[in-house]
Amino acid sequence: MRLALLVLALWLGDAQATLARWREALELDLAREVLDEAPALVSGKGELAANAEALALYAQALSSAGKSQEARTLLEHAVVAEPERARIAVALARLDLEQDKLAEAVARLAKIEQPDAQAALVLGRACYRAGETARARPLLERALELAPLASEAPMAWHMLAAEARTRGDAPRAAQCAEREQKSAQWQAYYKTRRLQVRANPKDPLPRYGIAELWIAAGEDARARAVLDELLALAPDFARAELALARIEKRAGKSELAAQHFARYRALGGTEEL
Amino acid sequence: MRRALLPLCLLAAACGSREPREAAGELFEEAHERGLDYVNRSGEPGKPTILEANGAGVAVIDLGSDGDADLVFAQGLGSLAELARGGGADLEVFENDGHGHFQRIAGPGLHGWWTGLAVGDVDNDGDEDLVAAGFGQLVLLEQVDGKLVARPDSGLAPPTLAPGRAPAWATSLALFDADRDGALDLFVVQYLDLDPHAPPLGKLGQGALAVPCEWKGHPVFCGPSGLVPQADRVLRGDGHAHFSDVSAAWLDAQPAGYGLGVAAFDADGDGDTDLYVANDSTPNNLWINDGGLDGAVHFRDRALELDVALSAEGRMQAGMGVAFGDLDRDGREDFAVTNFSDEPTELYFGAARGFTRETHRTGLGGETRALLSWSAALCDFDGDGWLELFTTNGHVYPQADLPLTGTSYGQPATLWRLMPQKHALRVEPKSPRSILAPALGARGSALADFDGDGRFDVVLARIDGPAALGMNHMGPENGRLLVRLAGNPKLLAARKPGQRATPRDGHGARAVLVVGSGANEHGLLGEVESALGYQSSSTLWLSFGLGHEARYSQLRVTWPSGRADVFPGGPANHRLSVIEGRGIVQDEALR
Repeated sequence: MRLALLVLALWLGDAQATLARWREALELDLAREVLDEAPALVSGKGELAANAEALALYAQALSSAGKSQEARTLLEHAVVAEPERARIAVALARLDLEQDKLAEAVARLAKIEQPDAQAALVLGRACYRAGETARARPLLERALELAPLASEAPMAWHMLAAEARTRGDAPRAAQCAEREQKSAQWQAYYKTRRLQVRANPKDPLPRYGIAELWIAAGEDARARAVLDELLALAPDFARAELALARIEKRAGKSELAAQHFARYRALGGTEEL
Repeated sequence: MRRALLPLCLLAAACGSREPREAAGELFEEAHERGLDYVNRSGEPGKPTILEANGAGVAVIDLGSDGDADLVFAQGLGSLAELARGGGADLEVFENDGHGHFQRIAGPGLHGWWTGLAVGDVDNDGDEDLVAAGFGQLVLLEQVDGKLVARPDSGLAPPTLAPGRAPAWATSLALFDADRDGALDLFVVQYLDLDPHAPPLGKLGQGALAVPCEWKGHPVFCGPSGLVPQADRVLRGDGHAHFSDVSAAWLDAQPAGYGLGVAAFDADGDGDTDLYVANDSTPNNLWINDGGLDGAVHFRDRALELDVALSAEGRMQAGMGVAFGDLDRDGREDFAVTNFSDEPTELYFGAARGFTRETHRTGLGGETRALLSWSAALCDFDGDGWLELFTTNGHVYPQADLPLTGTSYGQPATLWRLMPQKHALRVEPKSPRSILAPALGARGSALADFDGDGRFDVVLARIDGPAALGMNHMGPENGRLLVRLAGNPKLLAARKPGQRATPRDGHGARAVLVVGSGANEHGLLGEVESALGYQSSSTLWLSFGLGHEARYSQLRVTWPSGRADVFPGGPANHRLSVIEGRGIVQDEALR
């Protein structure tokens, strides 16, 4: 039993890692990587054949390769557990949006009772494009509440700014526009840093840049993971030790903070904690 | 220039007044038969640098003032290295015999890599002049006795940039009268810094922070992102073929964009000329003219505020070309902006306040997603009274032909009907000789009635290949009216400071042709502007489609001077010339 659970955990870990890799590839306009890997995993008896997110990501990659109809067929024939059906609906609605089938997208997603961030965002986009800006507003706000750092967050802020402008709510429009700008800038840096990591996987600098972005976004846990990865590659990268020391200090882990700070000083660092 | 009919015209397909059965209902390719033998050179086939991907523009100009549409093409070189070694191309010029047959004549003797062209009567002497933009160059060619003669003292030469800076790279141009003094001004769209001696190859950035130049995982040329954008410029014309840079005074301070396309038109319907600039991978600009006179004009970029700068969801797009026209016949200008593959051609309708985006509600977004589009035109090709959208297309990356890119390098030109259903319906070619058939990339395009049959034809500057000439055989059953609105030299000469005036060539004049009666009565809006599409310049004639109406009931003209004229109705299928203050000076039946 324990062995079975361990295998399941490993498999789940692998699956999550695969999905994370695919998500990143799509965010970096590298759908080819998904298209290379996905067919064996999502078709027939593939390990991810019943995984709604895997199917949705593969469909997105197919669409990016000009195979929208193949993507649609894949999704329409997907056999996934009921709670996962919403992900398939969202993926289909994304295809609808690409083909300007706005009413179809709205109809597909309006049935979802508790939309997650993606469902809310895609439904919000469909309503917005169809001119139903008032209906789009709460959906976009919900998407941002659930996933403020999603790659599509700037879109939501943009639509909210435009909607507020339409209503004549200038302060809200300005506030949303400012958030849009910050969010878009953050996403642009994040994308560039990840491309730099791919181009120079052994160099610590781009990874450090990613850690800084996570820290700026208040995501210390994600920053910590990147810094650990960095130090495994470049144990002498002093600034990573300092960053970790500050993260642990913020988390109230003074002993860990002191250890990292000591290593930072030992590596020649001169800044204070 | 009008010449004796060539023997070539004895070939059935080449005779303007005869319609080969195969050509019926088509924009039929007739470049070869009509003597248009321009072949574009735009660098190496592999497109190692961004300059080589952008191709050339084309301009319609009346050389010799004989009333027909002659052509000038920009031209590039076989490689960027050739340019760096001091090589250069001339513009290529073709005379029209008045029936749509062309003969190559000597170019003006320029030496460079040419991109965009603009036509207008910059010295108000009654003939059309040409401004040519290139990589590092901007030249005024004044028309003298039917020939284009370079004017080195025009004040157009690009400013000397700081040492180490790349040459100023002008793409599209717009000749227009910004300050209503009757003298044409010039808007210069500029792209980016590219060092021809050491262009970026393979990656941008240094060391660990370098990013490979890739598209969908394939190595491609570098840019525009990561390169330094060049700010657009505006130059005030004095009406005597001299220009001065007034960018700082006339334009709000604005971050530079990677500028590619421009259209000049009255976007807000207040009687002056505004500008829409399509920028690559940076927000587009909508420069709204404040109506100032005599150099005291100011432009404010309202594109972001009016939500016409970015995609519906706020993404920067790779804007390429712009076209304007009144699609829904509500008296307001609408416009279309072409974009990269995986991005839609955007469509905006003029509204009581600003614009409404109709890209997705018309289905145009889905239709255009796989295309990378450049030049655009809103024109009533079939004469049914509704404008169609025409675009040239073709990818920048030859790598687009690799598997799984979702697009292709060569792409056919496209035509969509949009109205009256407000639904994008692609016009499919019926013959392999339609210019909509071959999947060959094109960049610039321009409109004019080349053969005098009253229908606007379209010329395309294909990239790395022969030009295409789409002779219009669409809608033979529909009535047409061609109108030329021109300024009056006497009024111009008598103009006092602070008074508005109409440029001699009519730039900025607007006409509303009233057609139909009762519930079917409608107005067709036309605006005299040559700058539209991509790096190209179209005829100053206005073309109206009257559908099955045998007559129009009224022609209303609003001149840039502020004067308004109303002319009584007349029969369809005529060509009218109107001069401000003199009325209709020529009214002849179309042949």
